[in-house]
Amino acid sequence: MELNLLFEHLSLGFGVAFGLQNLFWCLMGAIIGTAIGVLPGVGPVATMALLLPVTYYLPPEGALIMLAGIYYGAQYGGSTTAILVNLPGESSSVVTCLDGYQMARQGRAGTALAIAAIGSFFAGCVATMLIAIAAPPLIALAQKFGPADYCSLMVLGLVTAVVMAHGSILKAIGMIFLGLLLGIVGTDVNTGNLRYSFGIGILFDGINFVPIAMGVFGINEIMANLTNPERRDLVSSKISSLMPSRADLKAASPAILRGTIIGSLLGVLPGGGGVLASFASYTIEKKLAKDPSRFGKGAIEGVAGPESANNAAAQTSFIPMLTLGIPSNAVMAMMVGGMMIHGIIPGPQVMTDKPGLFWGMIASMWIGNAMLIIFNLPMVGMWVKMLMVPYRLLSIAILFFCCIGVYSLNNSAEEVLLITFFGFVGYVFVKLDCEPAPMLLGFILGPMMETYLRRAMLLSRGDSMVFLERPLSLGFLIAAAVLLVIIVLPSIRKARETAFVE
Amino acid sequence: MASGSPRPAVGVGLKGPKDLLSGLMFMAIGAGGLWFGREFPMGSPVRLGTGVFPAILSWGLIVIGAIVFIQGLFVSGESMGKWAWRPVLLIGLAAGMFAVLIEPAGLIVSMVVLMGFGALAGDDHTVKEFSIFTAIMVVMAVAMFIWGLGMPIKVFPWS
Repeated sequence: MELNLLFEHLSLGFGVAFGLQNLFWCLMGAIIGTAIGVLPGVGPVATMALLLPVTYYLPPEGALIMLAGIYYGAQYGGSTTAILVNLPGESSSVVTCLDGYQMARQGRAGTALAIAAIGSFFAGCVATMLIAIAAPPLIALAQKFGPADYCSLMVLGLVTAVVMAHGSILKAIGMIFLGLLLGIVGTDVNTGNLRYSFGIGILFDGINFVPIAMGVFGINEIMANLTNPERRDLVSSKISSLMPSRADLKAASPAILRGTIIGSLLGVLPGGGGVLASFASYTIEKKLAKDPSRFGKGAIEGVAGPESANNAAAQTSFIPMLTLGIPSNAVMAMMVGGMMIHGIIPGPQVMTDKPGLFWGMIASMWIGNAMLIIFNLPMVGMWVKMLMVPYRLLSIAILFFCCIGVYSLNNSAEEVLLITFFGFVGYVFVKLDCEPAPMLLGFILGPMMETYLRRAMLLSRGDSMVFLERPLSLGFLIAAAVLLVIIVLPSIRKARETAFVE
Repeated sequence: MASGSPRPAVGVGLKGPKDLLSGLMFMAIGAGGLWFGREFPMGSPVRLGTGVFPAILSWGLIVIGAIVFIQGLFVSGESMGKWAWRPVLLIGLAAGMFAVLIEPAGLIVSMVVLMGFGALAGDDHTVKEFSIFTAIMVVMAVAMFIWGLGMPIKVFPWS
């Protein structure tokens, strides 16, 4: 029965995803994702922000399929740079540098690339199935949520995002509050009152998501990268055989399996995603190894585990966004932005209202993974050539795309000025060690949270105890409190700090 | 910078300048939120007014800012590092000029200006490389955005 339903859903999804147009957007997403994954200094968040205006011209299915492809494509591409250049193309590939680059120096670059791609593919397939299986029951649960439950769930989500953020917890909380505050700028939907618009026309409808995301991530990344230039040293050795030997496969497969499990679990957590998963997987592989001293000297498990984990996590991090409508990290905030551009409000109703879109996107992930393994392995040489494009040229191209993209959204030159402003603000944040990602989450959740807060208070006739009286809401709040306490405890804090030290 | 204290001799600087400044920033934004939101109606517990949520957030920012600031007083942290004004200002200027020029002067002029300022932000551009790259980008942009996507932007200042 359940299995039948799953089959029905997936066939609906594949029907949509195999449509010629959607296949094309999936391919585009995968290619763009790989490209920016390969290039250090260009991340998926900035790229998705860059392409949000373009997705306005696409059908919603195509738009979301492409945006999703960029994210998991970047996980593939990031490993290529890590292995061949010893630079993480993406932050989630930081640990892949450790053993991957060593393997490349020993002449085993082909094997390392192949294992990374195979591991990613396996993890991607498992995670896609996991989303398909986990989504319907979670959505059924989410439909029972009242406004108070939602409000508390968002608190839990934001707290978890804080725990996962790099650096100071307090500053991350501050950034979330700032994001929430920015989110409510403009006309208050409930009363029609204007808030914090200072008589500036473009602020009456609230700050648009695209300029803020592009300013804080796109423009700011360019500023930051130009201020600390990096050197790129390619491994000069030829990539010999791409086929891993039987012994390699045997050594790598348990690591791939463990990485997939760890990544899938950590990806679902709010604030989770590729970076944390790959670190966790590397640590575990090293602990489990008979001879831990091999790690850092070209251990194949050190590539297989983290690469599988980051791809699995990249995909399962869609689960909270798809089922509850709550973005768990900055990339998912972009996906929410992409949905909102097409007038789709993320939440449990998406699966029932737009089943084609929902299952089509999930199915496209499997197709995208298959495409990625094809053009990551045989075509790896082409991607590496891309590293020859110097950042000084890339940066001005990106700058241009940011500006024209924002302009095209509403044909509004003022919004281009807004990205300039947020670019400066973002640079100050980085200088002060305040991570902008939690701010973006707060920005997305701000209006939603206020609406649920108001509804909850209205339903409870003004009794704020409602948040503690409803069991679900209470559960979420307790979980949030426990998390906060745990993070403040010194021992765990120490472990967390070491995990984030590169 | 914001504390305005004169730098004492080497080694006795501010303990955690990043925390001090972030704390001040959060507190200032919180205070601004309260000040500019002072006339928002608060409503009743049953029907929360426009001002409730901003007030909660503003006070939250002030409290967090204060804690971060105090932390900065007692826990030593990294120094601020150098502010790279040149690339930051030039990149900002490039985007700003584009915003100002796109409507009156059209795509090509605003693009060239943007890329010019953008190039000044990096160090090692050569005139030849920059000109070729800009030419390619202009052709690509016109093909993609004007012919391809049909955006309502004029190409030349006179068109």
